[in-house]
Amino acid sequence: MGLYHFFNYFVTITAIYAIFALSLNFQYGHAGLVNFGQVFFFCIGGYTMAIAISAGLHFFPSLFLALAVCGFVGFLISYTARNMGGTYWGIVTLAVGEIVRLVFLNENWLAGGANGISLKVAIPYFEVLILIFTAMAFLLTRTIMESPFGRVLKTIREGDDLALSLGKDVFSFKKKAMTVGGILGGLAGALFAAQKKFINPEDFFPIETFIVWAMVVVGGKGNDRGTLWGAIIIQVFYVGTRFAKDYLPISGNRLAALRMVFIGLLIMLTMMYRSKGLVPEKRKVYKVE
Amino acid sequence: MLLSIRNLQKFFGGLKALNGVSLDVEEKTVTGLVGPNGSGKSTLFNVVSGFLPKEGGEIYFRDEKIDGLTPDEIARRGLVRTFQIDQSALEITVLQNLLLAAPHQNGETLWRFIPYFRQIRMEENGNLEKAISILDLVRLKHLANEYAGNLSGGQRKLLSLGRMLMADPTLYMLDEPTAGVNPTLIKHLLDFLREEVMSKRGSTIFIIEHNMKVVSNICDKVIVLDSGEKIAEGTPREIQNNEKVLACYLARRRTHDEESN
Repeated sequence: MGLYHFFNYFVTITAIYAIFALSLNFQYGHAGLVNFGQVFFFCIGGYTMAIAISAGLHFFPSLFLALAVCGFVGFLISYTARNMGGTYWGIVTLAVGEIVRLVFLNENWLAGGANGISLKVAIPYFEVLILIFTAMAFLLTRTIMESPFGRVLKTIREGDDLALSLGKDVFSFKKKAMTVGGILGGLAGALFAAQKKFINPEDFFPIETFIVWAMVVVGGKGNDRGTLWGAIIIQVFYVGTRFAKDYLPISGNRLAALRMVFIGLLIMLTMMYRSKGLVPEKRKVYKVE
Repeated sequence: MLLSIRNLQKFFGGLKALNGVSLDVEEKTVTGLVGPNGSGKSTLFNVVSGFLPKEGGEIYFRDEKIDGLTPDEIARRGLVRTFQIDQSALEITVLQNLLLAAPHQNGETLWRFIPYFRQIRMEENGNLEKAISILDLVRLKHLANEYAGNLSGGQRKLLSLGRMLMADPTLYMLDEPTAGVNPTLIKHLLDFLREEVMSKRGSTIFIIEHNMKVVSNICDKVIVLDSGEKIAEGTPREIQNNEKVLACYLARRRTHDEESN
């Protein structure tokens, strides 16, 4: 594969995963929702896109449908967070992620089961479009987090009691955080499907969730710029090793196995030496005269 | 009557934390709640503010029944409490903690972002100005942009009081607001609470306090709890001479002395 193609692939896949990581950062980094099943948004977004396109819809209506479905799914899943917090809820989301994947694997009528489903789409300048979507996702999360709404989310991250005592409807904030996170995750999944032009349940193993977790943790939770950096760094390891096999005297299989070791090592080093990530969360400084 | 509690009951397993407590908090007064450790003061606050479910009894706030409502609904009706153990948001700044407390913000509703854009900005600027003046009052202005997590215990108490002033509710429920705060500042803050909060804003204060000096300085009425029951009620002077109160405090002190010997 030529250098141009490699670079092209690297940029688009990194941009797509950056949106995916932003969606997790919005839920976990900003609102403290420990979601270990983030991949279900990716999966549902991708499959909605694929099914809509095979049903004859054009690209943008399909994309819109994928976002709507994922936003709604996020809204529904937030109900499980009502009386549950932290890692308990994390386990629930992990299970939901697997259930979603297994449904697509076993319900052959829905989207081809294990054989997967292909998308017949050809969008001009798709790479540019993906970058525009990434920039929009970044601006959206940033605008929300700079607002009073974002301030309440950051408070809820540390626990419900303070926000409740000040009259904030904490559950409603969590519902909205899950909905926005779902829409962003769905966007990433839909773009992923359209870019790859073929998806099957193997694309949505729980490992995908942990790769975006690695991006958020390494980049710096609660900081959207850090999340973008995290996405780039993790993708360098993840995608880079796939292409490095042409240049290194190691077999492809061994290298593929090694890349998870690299990513694990990276998380460990970050935790040990920069526990707040490479680009830590910044505080908002006001002028006080 | 601003707050009326009738026969309130709260059990933790076999422990009767509140065993049929009835009390009233009159409008525009300072009512103190005192009692030895474990007498049920904080539990009463937790039940009244909706943080703990009750086993029996009724709670009325401005003649409306509020028991069974969620804590945030109760707070939006104008009954706001502080916590004995600090609950400040430590990962945001002192100033943001105050901004958070401002009630009814348009900017907290996502769909209003675009249609109410200018209004939200104006609201935010107004709140900012108010927050800075409150920080000045609680002597935290120089720490405005510091993470709340970097404050000392006493400073966090001041911060929670600052949030309260920012929220500006009808009923201030303060759970030991002076613990760990230096005495000169306590006096300054209590004067402020009486003059500004009560006289000018017309708010009411319901306060849990261990320091008897503070109680006699600020309170119009004092209610004494012991083992989940109300044992006395009256002016600070009456309470200090009440035999039951003396007995319960002295009894505790004696056992405490025996323990330490």
